[in-house]
Amino acid sequence: MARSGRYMWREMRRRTLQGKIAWTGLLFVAPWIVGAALFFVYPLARSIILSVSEIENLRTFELNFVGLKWYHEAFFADIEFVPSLLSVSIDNLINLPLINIFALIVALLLNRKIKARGLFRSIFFLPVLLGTGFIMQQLLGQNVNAEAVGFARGLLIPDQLAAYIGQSGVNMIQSFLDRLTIVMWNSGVQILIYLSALQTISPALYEAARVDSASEWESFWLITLPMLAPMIQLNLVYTVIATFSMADNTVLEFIQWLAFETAEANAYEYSCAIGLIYCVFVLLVIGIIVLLTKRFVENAKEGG
Amino acid sequence: MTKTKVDPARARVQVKRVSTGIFRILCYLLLIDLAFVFLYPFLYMVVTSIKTYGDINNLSVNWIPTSFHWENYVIAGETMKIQYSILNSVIVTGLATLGHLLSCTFIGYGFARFDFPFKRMLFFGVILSATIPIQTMIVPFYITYTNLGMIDTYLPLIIPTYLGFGLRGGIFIFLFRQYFLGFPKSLEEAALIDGCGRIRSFFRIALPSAGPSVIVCLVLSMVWHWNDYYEPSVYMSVTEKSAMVPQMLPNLYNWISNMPVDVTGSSRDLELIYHEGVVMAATAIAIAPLLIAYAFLQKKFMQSVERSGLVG
Repeated sequence: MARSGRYMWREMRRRTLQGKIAWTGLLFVAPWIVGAALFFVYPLARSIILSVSEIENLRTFELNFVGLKWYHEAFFADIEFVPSLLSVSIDNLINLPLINIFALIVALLLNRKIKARGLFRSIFFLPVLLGTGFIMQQLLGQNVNAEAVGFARGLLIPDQLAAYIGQSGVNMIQSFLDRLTIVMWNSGVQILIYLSALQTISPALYEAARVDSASEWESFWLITLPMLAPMIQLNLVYTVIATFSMADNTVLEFIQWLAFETAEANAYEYSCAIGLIYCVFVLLVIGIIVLLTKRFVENAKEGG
Repeated sequence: MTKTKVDPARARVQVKRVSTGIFRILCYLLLIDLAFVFLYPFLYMVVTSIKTYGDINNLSVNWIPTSFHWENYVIAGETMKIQYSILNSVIVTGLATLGHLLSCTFIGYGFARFDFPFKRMLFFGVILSATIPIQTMIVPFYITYTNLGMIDTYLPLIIPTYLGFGLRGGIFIFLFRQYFLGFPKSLEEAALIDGCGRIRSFFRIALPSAGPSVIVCLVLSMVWHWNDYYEPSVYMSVTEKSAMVPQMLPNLYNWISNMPVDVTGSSRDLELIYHEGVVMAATAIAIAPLLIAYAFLQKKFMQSVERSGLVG
């Protein structure tokens, strides 16, 4: 159905039926176009211009073109930016599969015929209400996450085992468990997406598999996972967006500090440059994930 | 005990039954365990919020406080000026959520139903706008709103939502587009033949059918707006009457953590009043409205999710 832009314009000028439909479509999307101009294109253009210039006079906003000076500074002169970008991305990329595997497991559990299903589902969404803002940070600051898995830790690492693997081993497992709690608290939306996707899989498929004497394990790998493929891709992308825009992220904190909390010269321009680098970086990460999962999604479509 | 020979088929069935039973018990254990981890922050918050200073520093008092210390809530409420901040937050969150509901259904429908030039490019723009963290372009945003004369008002938090932007507006447009793509065209076509206009058929036919997606959008938009403290803190200076809840909370935290410590012991009195119990009481107050709203909506919300109201 999608036609070339020029063809559509001609139809629209001639007021054919297709042209009229196109006009109505544009009418529906018009608010977004206005919004995009005001709150997306304009700030983005402003940001790009600022990132390649130097503010001469803050009051009149006179700008001097300085080229890629700030970008150069970010990568080669700033001793903090690149390491903090790396540490943020490593942290988030470790959490990415963990969040998704955990969310999928919980969604699978909740999708079974269990008692008090409604209650459990509501509980698993609760941490989303806490958000990722100040409240969450405050609780993390109180080490609530460490306490929450505290008793689980006692079960997982008995003393004998602790003696065997040594202190560093225990510490590793402990930091992993701490990470796991944060992962759990951040996976509310992902659980919902998987849960709603699981509902759309036809029970007939499972029945057919059972008749052919497939075990539950087999039907998970051969039915559930392929059917979920597009949603897994979507969830991975959503997780990247959510984790990379979390408020306690050191890069974002750095941008905030540059923009509003420091009196250093050229902090505005530098913060724009770093912001743009970060944007491009996040988009690259998303692009790579989409490319990597493309094969998986397409295979699943063909198989199903 | 007359029958010594065991029917092998029946034995197999029994073994299977026992193993599924064990599996089911394990599932429940896992669920209860996880539920505890998820509930823990709330339990901790509620319990700590009614503890006295003595209880908090007493290691033997873990879950059940020696007495209920409701004063924490009074102090937290006064420090946060809840009579203003909760009202402000409710108004802003309400208006912004309404904006998302109105604009994103409309725009999402446009993308799902009609063919128009540059549609793919525009929709890519929607996705792009949802992926970029606002923090990365905060300076140009600040400049934009200054130019529009919106600084120190609630408008920067509200206006963009009516145009499909604001907090993750792109995600909601995506959500509604997916929904309307799956919604059969025939109903609207019938209405069209009967002389109903496109816009009217959107409001009369498509929109009323989008209930599940509307509920999902309502809950998520509400939660995200209520919890957002980044944008309000940038666009508005904190004054007693105009501050919102998420702005007052950090204020309280900072104030308590930077409490003057002096050797004469007068800060000891302050410490007796302002302690972690107050912090947790403040936190509880801050999320109480959300919890109440969620309590009303959760049944519908979960049903909507089940009926694939999410990116079906």
